[in-house]
Amino acid sequence: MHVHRFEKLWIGLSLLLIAAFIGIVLFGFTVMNLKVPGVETGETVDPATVLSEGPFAQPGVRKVSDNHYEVYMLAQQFLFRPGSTQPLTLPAETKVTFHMTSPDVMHGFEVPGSGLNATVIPGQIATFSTRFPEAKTYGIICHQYCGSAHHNMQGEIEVVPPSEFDESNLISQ
Amino acid sequence: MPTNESDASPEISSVGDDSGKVRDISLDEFQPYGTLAVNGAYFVLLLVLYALLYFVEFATHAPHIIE
Repeated sequence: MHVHRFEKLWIGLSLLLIAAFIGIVLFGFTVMNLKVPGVETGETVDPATVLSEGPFAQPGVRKVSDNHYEVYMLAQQFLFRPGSTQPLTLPAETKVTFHMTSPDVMHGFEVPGSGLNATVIPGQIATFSTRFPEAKTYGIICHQYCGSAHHNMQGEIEVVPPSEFDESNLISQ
Repeated sequence: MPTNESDASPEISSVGDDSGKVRDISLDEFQPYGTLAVNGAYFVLLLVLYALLYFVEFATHAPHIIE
């Protein structure tokens, strides 16, 4: 079959692009060891007992080291705990690891205007780390329909300068 | 501008029996530079937008997932 040289050119470029995209994904997951947030941690939890046992019985902020904090957060109908009844306070320019699970149905966690987005599934722990670049108030919304008051399920993250971060509200390990 | 074969210009009608047909060319003589330009521009646009995704995803002044 005779193929015109122009066609050979754009067929070749298209195949090259597809190969490049596949190659970039494989490079990310092998050499850079990237992971889909919260999926490959292998951490599971029993939704029936998560409110009374383990770290989620005391949701809140814990200190890992001077520049690393972690948040155990429950997403439940129709609250983020912590986050909804009172803002979740975190230091800026500091690594923060979120661990989230749900005791009831599937929820979503999204900070609008940012790259922070996770699906919170009962029985699984969604985990990701981030660093808030500036001290300001960020919103949280649930982006998975979770029931009749889904549209009211929202929260706030109040990011303060590291020097003003009050450690007296931390959950002790 | 001619709108149908009966209005065709004298050069075309003088070619012969194949009314409206100017000349035969082989596939390689056909050079659609316009199509090449459109495809090329689209390809370049695709690469530029793919590169810009880096800024959308990671270089904004907003938090993102680091690990």
